[in-house]
Amino acid sequence: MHRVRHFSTGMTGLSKNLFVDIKLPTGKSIQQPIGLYINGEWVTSEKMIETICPYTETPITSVYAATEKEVDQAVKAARNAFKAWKKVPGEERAKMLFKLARLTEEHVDELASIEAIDTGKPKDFNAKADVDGTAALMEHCGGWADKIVGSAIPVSHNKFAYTIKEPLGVVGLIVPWNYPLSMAAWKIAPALAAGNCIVIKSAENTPLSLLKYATLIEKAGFPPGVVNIVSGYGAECGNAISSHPNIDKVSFTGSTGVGQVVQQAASNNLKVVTLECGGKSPLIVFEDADLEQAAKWASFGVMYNSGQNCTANSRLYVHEKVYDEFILIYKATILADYPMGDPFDADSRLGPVISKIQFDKVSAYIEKGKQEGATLVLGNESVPSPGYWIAPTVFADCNESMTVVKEEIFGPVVTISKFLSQEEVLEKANNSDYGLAAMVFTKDIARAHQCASELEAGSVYINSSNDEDIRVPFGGYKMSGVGRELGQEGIDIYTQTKSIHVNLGVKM
Amino acid sequence: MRYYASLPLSVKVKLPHGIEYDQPTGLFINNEFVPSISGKTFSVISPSTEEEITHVYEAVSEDVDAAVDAAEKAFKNSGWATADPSQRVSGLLKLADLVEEHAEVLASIESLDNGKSLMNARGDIALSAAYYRSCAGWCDKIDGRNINTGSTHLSYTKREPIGVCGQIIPWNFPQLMLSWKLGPALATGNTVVLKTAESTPLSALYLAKLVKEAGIPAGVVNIISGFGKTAGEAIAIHPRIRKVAFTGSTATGRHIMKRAAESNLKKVTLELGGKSPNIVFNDCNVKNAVQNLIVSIFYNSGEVCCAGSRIYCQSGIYDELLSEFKTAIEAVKIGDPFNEATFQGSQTSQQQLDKILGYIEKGKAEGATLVAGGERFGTKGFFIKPTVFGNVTEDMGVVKEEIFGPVVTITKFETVDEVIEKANDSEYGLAAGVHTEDINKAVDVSNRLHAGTVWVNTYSDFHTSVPFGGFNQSGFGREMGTEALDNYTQVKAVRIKISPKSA
Repeated sequence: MHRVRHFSTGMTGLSKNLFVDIKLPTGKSIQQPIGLYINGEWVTSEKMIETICPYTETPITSVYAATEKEVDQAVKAARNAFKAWKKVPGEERAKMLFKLARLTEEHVDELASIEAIDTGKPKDFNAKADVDGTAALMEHCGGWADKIVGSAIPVSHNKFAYTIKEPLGVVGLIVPWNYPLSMAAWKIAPALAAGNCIVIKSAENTPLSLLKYATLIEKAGFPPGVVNIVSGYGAECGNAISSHPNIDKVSFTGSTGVGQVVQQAASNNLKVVTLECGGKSPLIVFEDADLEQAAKWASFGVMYNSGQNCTANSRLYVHEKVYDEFILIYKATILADYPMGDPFDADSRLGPVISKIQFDKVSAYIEKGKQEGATLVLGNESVPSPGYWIAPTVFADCNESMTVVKEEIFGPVVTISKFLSQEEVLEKANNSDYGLAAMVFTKDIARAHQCASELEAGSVYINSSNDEDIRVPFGGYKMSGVGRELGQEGIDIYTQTKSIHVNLGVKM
Repeated sequence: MRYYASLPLSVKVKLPHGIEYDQPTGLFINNEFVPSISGKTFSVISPSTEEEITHVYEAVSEDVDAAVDAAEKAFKNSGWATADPSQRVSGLLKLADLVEEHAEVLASIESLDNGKSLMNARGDIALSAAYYRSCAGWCDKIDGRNINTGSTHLSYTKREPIGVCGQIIPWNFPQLMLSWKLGPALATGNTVVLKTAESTPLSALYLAKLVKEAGIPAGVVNIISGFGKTAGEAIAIHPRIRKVAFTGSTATGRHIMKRAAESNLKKVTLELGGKSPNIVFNDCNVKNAVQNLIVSIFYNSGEVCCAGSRIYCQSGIYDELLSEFKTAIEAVKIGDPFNEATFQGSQTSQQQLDKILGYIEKGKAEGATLVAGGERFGTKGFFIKPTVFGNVTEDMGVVKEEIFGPVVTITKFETVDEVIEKANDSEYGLAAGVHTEDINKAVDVSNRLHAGTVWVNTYSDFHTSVPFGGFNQSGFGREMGTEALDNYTQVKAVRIKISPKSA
């Protein structure tokens, strides 16, 4: 439970400062903003959120939290900035995004360090990759900014029509705690490339890296009000965004449950909604699969980031013929490749889960799995202390009636079930309200592509897992989400089409 | 022509406004400057002073071979075509930034070598940097399609680079034409052997230094100085060059296409000449129209492929427009390119000067009326006064043939149908201008003109995202816009049979 500090005069320490110094384990100090970034300025509010370091269980600092009032200020700033911003040509937006990409590269170490402290993810193995990915996405979307074209439709010699892909205006972005900076980039980059102004809220668990990033956004030359960054609680701040009558679109990444709340709240002014929600992605290992590679990818797909990954391959289906062999290899791979340890230790591959709440939730699922009769293949390794550590947990001999096979756990926990036929496994794989990703391991090219076409998932990986590329669209079928991010489609969802009809001589 | 025993690979050149810089003189092959194999060099003249600037090494066919070897190796092994395209993004972005950093030197070299005003040259450099930057954004977006042909097959297309591309650029916009060629070719993963025009080799060699500094791998870009009949020919017939892109005269373009066909059917795109009509309607904004006329034919001393070299003015506005036009011409400042107030610099060479003066004589001989200009300006430097011929008929040489200088004809017309017929009565079809405040007329006339670009109430008004190229004998293929990428890719279709096995 986060402790919320309400400020009054007389309180020492953080009261009116908008920046604090965070000392890294390496000895270096980073200046961390703690205010709200609205209209190009750092401002305070009446509320604060304390952010806890998941591997020490102690507070890092507190940051100012936005209430409805500050959200409204931010929207006003964005709306005002949009008047001029919408006239800025694409190549100018491109230049700023390219500059932001370079600035991101120059500050990798700093940003990765903050991310590691705030999320507990290993700095070298995880956080650094997140920041590199952020830089790459800014550059990629910069390349789109001057290439957003409409169509010219030659209707007849008396009439001509053309379309313009306009920005939506002010977009509200709500991002999660599993990849704080990276998920923010997935939204900020295309929104800016398409010419929108932004109000973005970080997750209450992980406000720091995005606030730090605001300093780079400013340096890159984005005018005040174009990007506004607020920390805040979902119920208050997130809701203020989803239901704001002067926001044109809300894009949300988080749990399916909250996604539904966002979608409903957004209906007040029919703002556009895109959602990236939960998943329970099936990974299928056929009898002709390269088992060592399948084990490597299947480990990566559910242990990376401590399984706190919407596309985690959290349920495996392994063909009967290779079932026992695979499990042995899989267990060994996880033990070898995912040592837990201090995030600032270059050898660490696995951090704690993000919070006490998540720790309790995941632990409860593990208990449930045991109760439901699954075989515990891996799960009792000792964990570091303090910290919200959960040891990699593998359940085998699972079946479709088990909760651990059906529900999203969002931790380093995976189930393995046996299957006999392609038809059977596809049915089981698709028997879910989720549909974010699916993975198929086989050498048979025909089978691979057939399965890919039959799996009800927004991303299908053939012989890999969680192998995203910023150029390839990403998103969910069914209750895993609405809309696609990344690729050209990721840019399109931040535009709206205006059709312009030109009468060249049609008379009534 | 002097012959150097051994010309240094870099010479110091002092620019008229004081800046001194290091001018490479070699052939740029494999990211290094090398002498020509024969040691041959040729002279480079400053057309605004008629003085020699320097010599540069001259490439002939054996040097072209060396460049092709380098380009081929780079295509196969450097990773430029095959590695993560973000490498190409990075290289082109860095090149764009470097061009901007070195903008003043590049613009100055351009003015010195080509004779264009520094103001024009700066504009060229800015456009070329913007184009490299725009192309950078394309590198990782060259997608094919997945085509639904039913469940039995996986059918998709790939857009692959062609390989070693030969590129031959002209002397009127050395840097800008360089960017129009390098940008899309490199963005799509090709490697190039590019020959500059013999009149204007200098700025490209300077840019070659920036190519290396940008981290573009050796052999990806090879730039050689040389003559059309030798080096250009060698490119057109080379068996290992799979594509040639040429900008220049229609006659040379035709020749290159023949050679390309005879040798190895290499793919060809051509940006050739034009005799673009500039149509002024009664309901135009006269002041704006006049400004656009000035730009369309006197900008860059008329050495522009899409110059609006025949004006058609509707009778109702003719006298007023002509009077305003003459007044505006008198205000055109012609002279030293390095004078900040100069609009019109010199023609690029003695050859061009002679050709244009020849056409002026022809116009007079054909019975046209000289309304403005009509002679050389000054005694030193290849300057020609802005020249206007009136009372012309459609069959006159000055109305039909491309003059490529600051010489324009003006003809009166009555109706829309009449002017469209006259405008389209040309073997060319590069551009056209339409000046009217009636948007419906503008769109209608644009629809009916046979030209690759129609400008309405503006002229020579380019944008990196808008394609440019010719109809008819003005060429084929488009530069800039997404269309430019098509020039440098070929489509591979892949069909994989994935029918279900039984049981």
